[in-house]
Amino acid sequence: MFMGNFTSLNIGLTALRTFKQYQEILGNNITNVSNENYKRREAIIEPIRGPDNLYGGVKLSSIKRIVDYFIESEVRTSISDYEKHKILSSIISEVEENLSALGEGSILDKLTDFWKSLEEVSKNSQDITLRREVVSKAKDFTQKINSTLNKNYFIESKIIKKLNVEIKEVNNKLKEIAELNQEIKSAILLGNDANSLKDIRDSIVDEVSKYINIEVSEKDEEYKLVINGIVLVNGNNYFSLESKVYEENGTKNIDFFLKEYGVNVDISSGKFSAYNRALNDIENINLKIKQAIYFLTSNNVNTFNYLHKNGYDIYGNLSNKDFFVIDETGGITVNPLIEAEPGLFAASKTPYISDGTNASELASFLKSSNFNNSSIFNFISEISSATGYLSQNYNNLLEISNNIKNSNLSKRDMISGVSIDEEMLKLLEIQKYYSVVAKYVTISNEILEEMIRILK
Amino acid sequence: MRITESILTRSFLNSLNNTMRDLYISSNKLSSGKKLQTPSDSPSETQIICDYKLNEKSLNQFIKNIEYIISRYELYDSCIDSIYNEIANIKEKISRSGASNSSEIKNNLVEEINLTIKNIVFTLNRRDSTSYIFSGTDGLKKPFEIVTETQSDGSQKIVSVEYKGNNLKNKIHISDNEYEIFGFTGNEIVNYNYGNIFDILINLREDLMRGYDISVYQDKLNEYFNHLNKIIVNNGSRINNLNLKIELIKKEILNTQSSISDIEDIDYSQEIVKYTSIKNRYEIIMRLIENMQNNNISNYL
Repeated sequence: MFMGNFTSLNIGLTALRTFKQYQEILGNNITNVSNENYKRREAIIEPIRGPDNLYGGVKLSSIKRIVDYFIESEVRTSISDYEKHKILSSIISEVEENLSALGEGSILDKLTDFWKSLEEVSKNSQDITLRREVVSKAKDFTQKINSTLNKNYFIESKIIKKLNVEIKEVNNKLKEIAELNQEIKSAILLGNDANSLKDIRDSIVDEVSKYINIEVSEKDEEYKLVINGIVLVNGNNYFSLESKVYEENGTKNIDFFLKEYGVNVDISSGKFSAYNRALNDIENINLKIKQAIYFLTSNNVNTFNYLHKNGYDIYGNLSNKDFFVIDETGGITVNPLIEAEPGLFAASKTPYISDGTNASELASFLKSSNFNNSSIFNFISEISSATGYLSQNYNNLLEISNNIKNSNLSKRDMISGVSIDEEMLKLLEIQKYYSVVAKYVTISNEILEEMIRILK
Repeated sequence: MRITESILTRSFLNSLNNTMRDLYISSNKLSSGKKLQTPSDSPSETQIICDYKLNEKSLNQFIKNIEYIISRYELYDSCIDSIYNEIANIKEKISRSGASNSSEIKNNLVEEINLTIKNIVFTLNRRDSTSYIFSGTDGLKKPFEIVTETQSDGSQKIVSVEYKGNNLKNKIHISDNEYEIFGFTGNEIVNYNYGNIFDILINLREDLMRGYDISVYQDKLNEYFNHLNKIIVNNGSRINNLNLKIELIKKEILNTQSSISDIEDIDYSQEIVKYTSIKNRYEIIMRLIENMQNNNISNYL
């Protein structure tokens, strides 16, 4: 009889303790409402079996961390895609700005000014001021081409420097994940709550997915990070990534491999894949600019230089000089001899000073369809519009991938996120239960006291 | 479906970002007046604009070229006009002196002919700012040189006038695929179907000095007038054609500019309406955020 009354007090006590713990879990959820890396916890409550399998009250059996692994994988894939397109869009926009096709002072503008100066000198080839203008406009044009190329090279070098820094960051993160795996394993073995450690690990994995496309596998309780079949983290072991930039067929590529084993790693998304793609894209643009340079500096038959070489300078001498030459840095420049003495510009077709027909033909040459079935003007404007198409494409993909990422993050939030309203309602519910149980304990206590008084 | 605070925040943030971006784009368009800020706004239209702008600049250059050609034709005209007047003057004097046997009149006429030759040579040796205009493409060379012989009395007698220039002409673009081969060489001006005008004037002078009949020179000089007239008429018609060409090019420039404007320029009223609607959208989102802040269960408790 007495035993029964003590049991009822004990039942009340377990309930009060359980609801207190439940309240703490709700409090923890509410305080982490703005923490993006926090996964909502749910209290799993189960009845306690009392003596003789009778009533024993209630207890908190576990704290469940609410995660949907499929959604987690989708989120990471979309983060990788978003970061890839964000980088590509920003780099190609920079290249696009560098080409400044629509602004004043574009390559096309400079080429047009050069063409105009040739037209002017064709009328007064004996005028040394006009010849100086030809040289000056040609220099402006070549400097713009060279600076565009150099800016693109600078963007490439920035990419490579950034990659070198970021690959170290990723390796540090892989190391942190491996260490966390060990801590989580130990905590679980000791029967402790490893949920906070798992939150930290998930946030680091999200960070890593910004750089590379990774998959998480938790088979046989062993946590693995895998990229296209290559394991980067296996339990408490991790493998560092290494990169190497190489040139093939005139394009730059980045090879990724495991530092320890030299195994190639195929990275198809994330920032690192964007760097590889951006280098390719910039090299393609550079290649086109170099084709234009080659076209102007070549001295084969029917080229600008060929026409110039066969013209006559202001002194009536056959020029036999290239007008455009390659400088020591690989850029295009005006022949230094002509730059120093504009009289050497071969404006004439005959050894007579007022003959500007060669200048006229040189001007005409720039506009005629003798370069890849188009004029050099069209070719350069095509470079700008092709870069525009590329940039437009990446901007569109960025918008799409941003929407997908946000939608996936929302899906993740629907499952793992904290809703204050929901938690507050649960808190009210728990508060109610707590008061009821407290009343129950009071009544049980009063009954017990009454019984003791009777027995006295 | 569970809607958490993060979902709402992300959704509002996203809408705010998009609205801010649209506001930025719209205000850029309004301040610059241009639809296209970068090639990626419309790559195909960028290429069209580049082509149009190149075309516009080329056409302006062709107008400059044509104006230069016209100014040179006008310069030639004024020179030819002056030669015409010189010949007309001598022709009139010949006709007036034809009836006279006075040696003084003849001597004066001889002097007049010598002076006329010198004046014509002076006119044909005209320079523009940098070169002689009648020397073909050999612009540094004075085109005509008077050859004289020293006489027994020590005086200098004009025996011939030599052309030192060449017979080549310059060519200048008047459109992408069209050249104007223009100008006059000295030979073109002085040579006609009776020979060289200087030789004719020298022969006239000689015949006059010998007392020969000089009436035959009337026809020769008349024919030279015809020759000069032809050049002046051709020049005039060429100048007219070139002026016409300028008008056509100007029309083409206007069309090109209007095509550029169609693609490039914004419709201000349309853009202002758009800007205002984006601004309204922004304000609505801000209100919604404010409401969201107030509408939650903890505020009711």
